Amino acid sequence: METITYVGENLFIGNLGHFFVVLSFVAALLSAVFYAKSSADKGTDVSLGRLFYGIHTIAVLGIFVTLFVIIQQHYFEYAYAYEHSSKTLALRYMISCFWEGQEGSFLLWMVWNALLGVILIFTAKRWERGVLAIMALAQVVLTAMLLGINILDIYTLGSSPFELLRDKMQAPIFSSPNYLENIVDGTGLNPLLQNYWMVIHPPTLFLGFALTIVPFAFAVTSLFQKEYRAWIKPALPWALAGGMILGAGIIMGGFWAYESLSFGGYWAWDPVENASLVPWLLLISGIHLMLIKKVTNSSTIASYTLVISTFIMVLYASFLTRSGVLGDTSVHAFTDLGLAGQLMQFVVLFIWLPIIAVTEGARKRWYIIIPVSILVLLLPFYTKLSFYPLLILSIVGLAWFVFNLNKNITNKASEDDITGREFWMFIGSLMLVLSAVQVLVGTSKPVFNKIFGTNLVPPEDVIGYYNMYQMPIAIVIAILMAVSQFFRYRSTPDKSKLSKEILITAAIAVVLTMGGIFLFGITNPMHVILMLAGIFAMVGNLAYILLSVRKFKLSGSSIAHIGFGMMLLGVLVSSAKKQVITADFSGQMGNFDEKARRENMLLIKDEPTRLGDFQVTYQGDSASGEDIYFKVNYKSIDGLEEFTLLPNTQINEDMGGILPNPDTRHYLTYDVYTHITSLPKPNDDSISWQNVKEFTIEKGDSIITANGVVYFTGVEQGDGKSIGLKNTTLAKANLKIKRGKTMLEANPIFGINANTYFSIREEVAEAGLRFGFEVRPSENGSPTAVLEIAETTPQPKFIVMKAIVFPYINFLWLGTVMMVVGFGIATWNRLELRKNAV
Amino acid sequence: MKPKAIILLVLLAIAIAGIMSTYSGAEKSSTFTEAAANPGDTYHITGFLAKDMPMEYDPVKDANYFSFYLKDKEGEIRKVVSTEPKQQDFERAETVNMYGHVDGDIFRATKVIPKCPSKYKDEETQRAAQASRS
Repeated sequence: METITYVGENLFIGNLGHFFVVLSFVAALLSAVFYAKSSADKGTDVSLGRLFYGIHTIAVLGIFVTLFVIIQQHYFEYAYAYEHSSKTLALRYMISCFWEGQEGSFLLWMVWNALLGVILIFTAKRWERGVLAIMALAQVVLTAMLLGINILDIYTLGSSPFELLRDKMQAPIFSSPNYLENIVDGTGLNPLLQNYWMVIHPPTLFLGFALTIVPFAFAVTSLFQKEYRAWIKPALPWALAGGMILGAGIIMGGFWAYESLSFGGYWAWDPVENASLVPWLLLISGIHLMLIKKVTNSSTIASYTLVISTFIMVLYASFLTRSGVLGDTSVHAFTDLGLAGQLMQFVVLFIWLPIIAVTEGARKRWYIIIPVSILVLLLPFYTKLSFYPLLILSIVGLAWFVFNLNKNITNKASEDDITGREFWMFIGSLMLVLSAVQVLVGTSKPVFNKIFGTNLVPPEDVIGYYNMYQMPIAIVIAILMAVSQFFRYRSTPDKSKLSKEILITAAIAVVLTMGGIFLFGITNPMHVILMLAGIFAMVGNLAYILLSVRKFKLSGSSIAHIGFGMMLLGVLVSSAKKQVITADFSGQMGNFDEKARRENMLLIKDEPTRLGDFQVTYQGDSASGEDIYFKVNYKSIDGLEEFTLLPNTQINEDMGGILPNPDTRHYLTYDVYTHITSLPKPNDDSISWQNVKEFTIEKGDSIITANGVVYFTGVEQGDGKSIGLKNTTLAKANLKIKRGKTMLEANPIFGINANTYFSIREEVAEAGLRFGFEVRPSENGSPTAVLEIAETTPQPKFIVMKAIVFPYINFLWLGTVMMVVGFGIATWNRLELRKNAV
Repeated sequence: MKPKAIILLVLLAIAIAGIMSTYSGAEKSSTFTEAAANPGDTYHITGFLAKDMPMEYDPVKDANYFSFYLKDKEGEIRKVVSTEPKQQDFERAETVNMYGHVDGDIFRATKVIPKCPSKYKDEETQRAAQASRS
């Protein structure tokens, strides 16, 4: 093949980026090897491991900066910049380009991991060798995703973010050496990602994901070293910080969905949302088990299992969302980049790591390592075939893990006392696992289909399906939260005090719940029980803070628990009592159906309509770039409140015509949420224009038509450049149309240049009028202005919209903030405790 | 270990029951014939949009009435009525997934999910075409 020398490409920066990728891969590999070696034979020097980890971190940051420069400088010769950015993109959104593409999101994860590793080098002390060996191993696998190296033409390892557009796409334009001149702009960033919350939600979520590896690394290291208790103390702050940040990341995603997606809510049980919720639930369960282990030295196997599965679930989540397996079931999963096999390797590798750790004796370990390594290496070729052996191996592996660990634990837990706090905490942790398993099972349906060739479809009412299972679990968890704090670890000595505390808080909760039933109008018995449980959790923990917590820094867990109770209350009231105020049962098509929802309302411009407690008027629209904003005015019936919402739609051909974004008015006790669901058809070709007439006009003339009076207020001269024509003069007629009370405008254009003349008509569908304008030379020298008017049936301007009132949704947001704050206090407290211990 | 073991077993039983009900009771893709046998019961139907048949959505008359014709995988064509507004690019849809029930001659859909022909691929070719045109 003939090689072409392309003009204008900046190849240096891509090569630099690629160099950083290879460097970070090699450095991570060497760091993992040296750390593992120094961890195995204690006392060996760690400086080589540290050195390579340092090089790796610098290289990872190098990749990040290089890719950012490519995006920021608009080097569209690189596929990543072309596909995920454009010249008009604001600087604050350029960072979002990183998470629109898969390679960028891996990169983000790697950056966090690398930085966490650096912190651990300074703080992990005697755990450093083992923990860093595992962190470096994870980085090896992650950097491999970015390599984009073709091995012997049979398999491509990773997908490089520095791939050139001409290598990625086959198109005739690349046969021209000057092709870059023709690529004017990139295809841009998905408009849904051009949102404030989308700038901070993904990095937060990825930091949360990255944090889960730290407790995992401590746990696995301690398994190798057979220190089944000491690892908890250094790992606990990391686990708590992970719970806080992952939780905050998840809820930011919910807030983003509520503010800018048009499904009318904050949580849709979408597979991608679930994929981040499952590790969080397991992490919270793991934190509680770690506490039990720390204080009472029981629940060893359970705490290990949960900390390990949290990280495995993070890996499984990235497999689910990035392998393309979710396909149509989720709105925001990635398509497959050919990394499915590598992602599966990642999962399998880290499942087997703790199993190898509990196996004693070098020979036995090799018996496991060799077949697993072969399996892992073959995975990319047989992703589907290898599932059955994988499943069997994982079950055998788990049994092997539990069996060996059980054998190694010398101090078996004493008989459980049901008056010990750990007993109830343990049950609460199990409930969290149950909740996670249910979400996991529901979400993994597409995986199940792929493996077993079945054709199971997601339930019709996805939200109802999950709620049905999750509601009872949440009730039990909230009640356990309310009572557990009153128990003491091991056994509670003063049982009458205990029952008194529980009974009094329960009584207060019952009274408050009755008030709640009255205030919120909750009647469904299941909802009442859920509300009672949520309020009980709040009251119980508040009482605990007031009665038993002596220092503020010890109040973290109770504050988090109060936050959870409040969250339950917010979820319950805002969803059970949400009111679709656009519900319209005046069906004119005469087919009343009980099951039908009929939630959309047509609003004709300037015609007030009563919706719920509001008088709502659609007042017109305005365009801004690709967005059209619709002015929807709300006036409360009692006349006390008035506000205007601006729901918008974005014209985006790639995403199927229009893309609606809601607008919400927030009040302390309720939100009014509005979004557009349909619009009139844009200029319809099928309109038949009748009564076409020509008028010779002069400034100040008025013409009476069937659809209103037209006033000619003058002509404006313009340059053809404004519509992309050179050497052309334009004459723009200024017309005003009076139609009843409304005034409309029209500007038909007449253009002339050396070769030709033309006129651009303007249709005003709302008035049912079409205007053409022409300037004709006349005998007496001064040109005459001619206006052509055509008539049709006026098409009223309207929007179809949906409006929902969410009452007391602020409980939800306040609850989540309290939960995050609670985690923060607990993390801080554990960090202090660790410092004091040294 | 006793109370813990009992609770563990109970939860395990609940989990297994939950998994079983999720996977055994899961709806499968069905046909109009099956749905017509039990009018009123919800079915999931995947079919092809009958593009030569009329599609009706006129928000001025009724913003909550959208009708189209769907050919199921057995080739039966039925009128589908939905109470959600027509999605803007619905005409482009090839296959349509929907939930709903049969009522007389029509199928009342409670949820309609159109699928445009492999969007990603489409986009790629479009981009390539765009690039070569400019």
